[in-house]
Amino acid sequence: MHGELAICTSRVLRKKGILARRERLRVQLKKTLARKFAKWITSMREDKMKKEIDGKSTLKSKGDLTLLHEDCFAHVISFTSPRNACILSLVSSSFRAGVDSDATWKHFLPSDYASLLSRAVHPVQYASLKDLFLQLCDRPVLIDGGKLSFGLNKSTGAKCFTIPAYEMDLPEYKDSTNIDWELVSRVLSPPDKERTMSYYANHTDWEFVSLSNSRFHKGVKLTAHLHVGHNALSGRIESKLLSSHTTYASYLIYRDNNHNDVK
Amino acid sequence: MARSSTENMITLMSSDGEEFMVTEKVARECTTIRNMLEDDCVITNIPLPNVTSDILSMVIEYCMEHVAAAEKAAAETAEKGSSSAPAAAKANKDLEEWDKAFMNVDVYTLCDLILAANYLNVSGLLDLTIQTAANLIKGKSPEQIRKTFHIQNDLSLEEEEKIRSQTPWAFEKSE
Repeated sequence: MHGELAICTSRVLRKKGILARRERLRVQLKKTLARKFAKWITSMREDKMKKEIDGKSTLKSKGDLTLLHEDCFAHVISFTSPRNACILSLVSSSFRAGVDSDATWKHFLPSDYASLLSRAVHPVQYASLKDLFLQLCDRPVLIDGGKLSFGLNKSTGAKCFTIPAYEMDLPEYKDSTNIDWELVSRVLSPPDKERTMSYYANHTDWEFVSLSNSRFHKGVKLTAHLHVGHNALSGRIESKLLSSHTTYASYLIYRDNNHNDVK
Repeated sequence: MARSSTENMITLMSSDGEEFMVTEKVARECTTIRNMLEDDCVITNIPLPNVTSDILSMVIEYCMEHVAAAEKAAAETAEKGSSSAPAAAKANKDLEEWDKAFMNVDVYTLCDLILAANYLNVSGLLDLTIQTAANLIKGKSPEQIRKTFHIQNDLSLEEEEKIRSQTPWAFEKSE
């Protein structure tokens, strides 16, 4: 080491110089690669211990991503997807340990997960951030006193929200004498929005019912035959709550009592 | 690359004792070094005991290329008074191409570069290397990843089964 130090003199780095050095290194590397590879297969564990000692003086990954700092490894994983991360944990025990770390799942959880959890109706218990992620995928939590349900998409980690029926804008009660008139006018002329609204606006058309299998424990039952038209139902959500760079779709969850299946 | 005579030169010393003389501007691309310089402005010799000469030379090569590209863009803007969008787009594309060619390295070098970029805190290089590494593992089967990174599977069948049962949805179909 001392001999090398003496030989090395200060020099101005030129591009040509670097390229030549890299070429030389490449030849050297090819020779050492075969040796390293054999070493890997035969004594993976022994090698790792050595590297840990080596690592204190020089940063050498020797091609194993898991020997990167936990933060670096998590950073690499975060450029993939939660689904990919789960597949990666099958590679080896060190990969599994890296994938399971909180550093990895912090990247997949939405940045505002802590503030959303603080709004939960029932406090959420979790052993690790991975555990939390999987919980939120399988069991969305009620937040804001039950006005909203929050969960995550398994594949992408994007936030998903469900608005309960009692927070939706349901048609308001209007005088039922109007209905006949509206019915007539619908036949005579194409209905405009306002008229369509009032057509649906009979309070006897819907009622609140308790639902044991709903996360909100309460739903809305339609008691009359309803023609689905615009403005019949609407719900609101703050757009800043949604995940960025994500295309959202909205779904209506309902049960057909004749068939008893949830859609 | 235009270099004024008054520009400070900084010597960076790798773990194996090799010295690299670079302009202060290039050295400042590394946030770790920039912080050192800001703490103590008379510093001219910086030992980097965590980085080997082969990796340090690549980091410097990256920083020099990116400093040169930024200087060229600034000079063009000063010359014409305003930057022309097509020229800037072309320069960006050229730099991207250069980055792509620069990332044509084996996994050993790539991992060492990630460590060095993280230690020296070169954000552009860190993003580039991490993205390259992520692309190597994205959408690959565990077997393919083991082959790429020369990793031996040390998980027992029971452990594999446990991992699969924890998140069965991840293994249902590939993306």
